Amino acid sequence: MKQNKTVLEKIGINNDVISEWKIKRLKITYPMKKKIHYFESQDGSVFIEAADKYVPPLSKQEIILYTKNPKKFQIDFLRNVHFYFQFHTFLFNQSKEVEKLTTVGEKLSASLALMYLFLSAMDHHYYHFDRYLVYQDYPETPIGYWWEKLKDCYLKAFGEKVTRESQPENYLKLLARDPKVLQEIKKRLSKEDVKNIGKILTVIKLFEDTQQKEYKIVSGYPVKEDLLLKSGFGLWENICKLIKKYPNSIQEKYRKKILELIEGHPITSTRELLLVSQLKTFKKKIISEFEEEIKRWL
Amino acid sequence: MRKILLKGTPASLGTIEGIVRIINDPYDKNFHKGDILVTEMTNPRFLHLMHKAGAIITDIGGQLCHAAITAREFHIPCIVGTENATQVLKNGQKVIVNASEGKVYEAE
Repeated sequence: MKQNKTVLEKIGINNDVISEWKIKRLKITYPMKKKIHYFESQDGSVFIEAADKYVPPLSKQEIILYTKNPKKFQIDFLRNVHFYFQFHTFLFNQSKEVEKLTTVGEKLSASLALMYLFLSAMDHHYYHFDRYLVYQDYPETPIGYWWEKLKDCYLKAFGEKVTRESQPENYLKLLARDPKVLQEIKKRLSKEDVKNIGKILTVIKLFEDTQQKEYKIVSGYPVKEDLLLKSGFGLWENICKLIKKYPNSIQEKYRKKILELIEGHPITSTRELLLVSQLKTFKKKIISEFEEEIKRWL
Repeated sequence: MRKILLKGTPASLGTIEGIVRIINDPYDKNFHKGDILVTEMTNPRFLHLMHKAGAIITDIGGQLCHAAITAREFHIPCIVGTENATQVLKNGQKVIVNASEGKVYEAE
């Protein structure tokens, strides 16, 4: 019988349970790395800081594959979203067991581990694809490639340049597949160009449909309560409560900083707290138990 | 000249006058047909409100965010990426949304 169980093992997440997730291709990496060069979405500073800067990027092969075959992107993404939904609800359900652990240190290590698993899996199975749906300003991405092509065709038809700052009326109508604009394009462009625009609009629609579907899956829609937020905020709340109740679990010189950090926006604060630089502000035993736990998932 | 209250990215064309409703909770019952839905960003839980909305204005997002895509589908004027609509606009305020220009004007 194994003597030293890890913190999540003590609440029933044994190696068999982890193996099952790994067989389903769960991907967890440690530590999280901030990128120097990253794509910046128009989703506001919270998502730039907490998602765009950390998205594990699509590989070169994936970029080529998904640019050529956007349907494959949709299939792979939605399959991963289904998987991530199962995983985040599993983590949240397991978090209720943390209370059974005997020491504050173990509770905190376990809560940090569950939160880390939630975020790392989110990066690999959700953000890895999801962020790319809003990178239309980058022609080197699958969606950006098709977006650029649509802008070129529009320029050819109407002589107007589309930029992030300037969106001509007819361009928006084209995006909405306005029959009058499509008719006008038929008059102005060759048959081949018109066929080309038809293909581009079909691809853009596919990306739009993917965007519409993914959130429903990951949040458990139409269940009234958003289950993604329930899982994420629930795990985060557990950590915050423990830190506030037992501030001594953080090394004294960092205590004030961490207490301030957890008062911030949950999405950015979660990311920040789980960086190695911040994790090291906890007492050594807590962090070694946490790292011991994460090792099992890699 | 009407006062411009806000600028953003035009996402779905049209101009409409209506009452601002700032919505944080998609199950907020204080939202009436024709109201201007103002929120940080939308997701599928906002669909029943988007169906009733006269226009949609969001703080964040671009041409391919949920609000933009849905508004084009529903043919509702929509401005995205205003950065601070939920702070600048006030509940109950009467405004004119000119989504073709990406501008929100004071109505009175």
